[in-house]
Amino acid sequence: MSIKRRLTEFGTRVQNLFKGGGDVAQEKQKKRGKLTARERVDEILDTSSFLETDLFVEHSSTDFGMDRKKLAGDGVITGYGKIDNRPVAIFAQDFTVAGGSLGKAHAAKIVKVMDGAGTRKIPLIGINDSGGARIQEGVDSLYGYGEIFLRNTTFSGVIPQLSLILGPCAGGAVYSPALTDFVFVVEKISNMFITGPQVIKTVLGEDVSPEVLGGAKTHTSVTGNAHFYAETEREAFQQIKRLLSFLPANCLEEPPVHEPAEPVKGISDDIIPDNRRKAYDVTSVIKGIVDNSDFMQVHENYAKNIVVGFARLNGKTVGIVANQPRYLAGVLDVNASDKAARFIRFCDAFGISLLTFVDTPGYLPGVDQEHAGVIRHGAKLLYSYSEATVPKVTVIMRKAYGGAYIAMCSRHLGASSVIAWPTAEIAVMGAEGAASIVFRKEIAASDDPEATRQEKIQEYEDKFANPYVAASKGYVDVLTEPRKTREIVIKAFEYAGRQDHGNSFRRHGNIPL
Amino acid sequence: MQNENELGKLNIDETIYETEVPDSFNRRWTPPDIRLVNAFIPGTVVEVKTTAGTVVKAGDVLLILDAMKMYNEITAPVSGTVDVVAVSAGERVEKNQLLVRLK
Repeated sequence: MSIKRRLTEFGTRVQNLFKGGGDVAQEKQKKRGKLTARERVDEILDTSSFLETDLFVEHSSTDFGMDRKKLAGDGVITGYGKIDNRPVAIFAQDFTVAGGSLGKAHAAKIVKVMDGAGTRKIPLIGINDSGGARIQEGVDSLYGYGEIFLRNTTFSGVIPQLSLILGPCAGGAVYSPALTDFVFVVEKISNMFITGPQVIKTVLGEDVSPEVLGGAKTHTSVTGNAHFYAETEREAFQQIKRLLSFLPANCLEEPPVHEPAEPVKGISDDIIPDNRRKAYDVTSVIKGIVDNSDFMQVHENYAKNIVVGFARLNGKTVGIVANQPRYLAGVLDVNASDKAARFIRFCDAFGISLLTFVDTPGYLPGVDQEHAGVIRHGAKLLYSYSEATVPKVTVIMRKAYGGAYIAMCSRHLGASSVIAWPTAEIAVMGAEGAASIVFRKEIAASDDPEATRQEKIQEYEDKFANPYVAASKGYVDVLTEPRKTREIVIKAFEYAGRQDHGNSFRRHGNIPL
Repeated sequence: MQNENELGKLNIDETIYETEVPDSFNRRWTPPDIRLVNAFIPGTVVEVKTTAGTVVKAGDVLLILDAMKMYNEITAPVSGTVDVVAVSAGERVEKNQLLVRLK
């Protein structure tokens, strides 16, 4: 065969493989409002940076007529590329090829690029758009999922792993994204569930739409399975780029340092309301302190009583955890504890300093919470803060009561620095509750119990509803006016090193799950 | 920030906070009534093994519920007398639907 003919043959082969499941299937994909797998890869990565691997991989299945079926790339595109000039590994399931179903060769391609990400120590981006296991291949597809889960786990805390759900992701397939660090979903395109609406209808007789059961809104607001919600695929790609700009490529590397920038608008001393019973939006405090007022929330619509996300301080990435007085008064509860704990552990794994803002009245009371295991879940927050060895700076703005005070990265859990505003109230509980307990007898014996109670509340408030008792014991390191917070926090991080618990001999702790 | 008038009230340790309170928080918990035997899972009643007026002991099988490809024995949680049998064989039941009431 002449070189010319060989090259022509090669060109034809590539052309055919690039068509994925063919023109009809590609059209169908687009009609659903979805980009094709190849378009997705091209749009996420820097222009012309993609190096595709394993384009020519084929399956070797012979059952059920599979020997007569050619599947382009076996339904998944894999390779390496760059985002903002930093290398990443990527795979994208191609729904147009046999519904993006996962067989042995398909899985082997994913496994190979995952191993590539692991050895190169670069982030992994997975695009999920698959009908699930390739039934014709039987247990080989189960083998495939298992191999992927194993790698999701062994690379956890080594490289950032991001999952985009851009189509169906059902059954066992959901557990790969679930094992990764961040999951991105898109309105009307993403669907995730263990058992789909059809099975639920058949087995249980319950009618539910895919959107309600496991759509983008459900997973970002109800279940917390996904971290980022987007209206369109392109918006999700932008979110991925923005997120990666805060993250190191792996756990050995420092997070990228940007040019320091002042906040767009700093905070004034009256940033929070006078009345401690009044709500405010804690993100306005965060944005008034961080570089460029640029704050990327994670889990924005889930457990809104706590806010977590990434920002920069003096050019360096910080992970922020803050009570949100605007929602449920900023109480801690089951979901807020889970949300914060997972975020804290991500930051600690990747050397991202933690900045905590405290204004919480305590734990949410109720039978629901107790029965949902608020003890076990709340313990995760204590555990993850205590365990974290990254620099930890805490700013107590207002209420820091009881167990919630301890949990929110207090001095006692190993904070590098605790900073408090003059408006801080560090106490065992709020004045009303404390007065009722401490002065129970006086109140009961009074001719005018309500007047006595108010008097005692005032007495308690005057004595304890401030930062000075805690500061006098060294539980608070620095007191400052709100407007100087940025400056003090930057200094505090500058002088804080990584901590060493002296327990590196242990395999791992046993976080309450 | 949303309007002040969207804020509800939340009592934590006797302090009343003005804050956003989701509807789900206002669902009140009620203690379960041990006389009510409800379907713990949706399914189909295969066989009813009791009738109103029967005296039953805790653990006695009241009916068989076909759900998740299993024949589940639904038993009396406490000893007593069957007051009402609310379903019949062949009937499809929702989760938490009343099956039998004891007295």
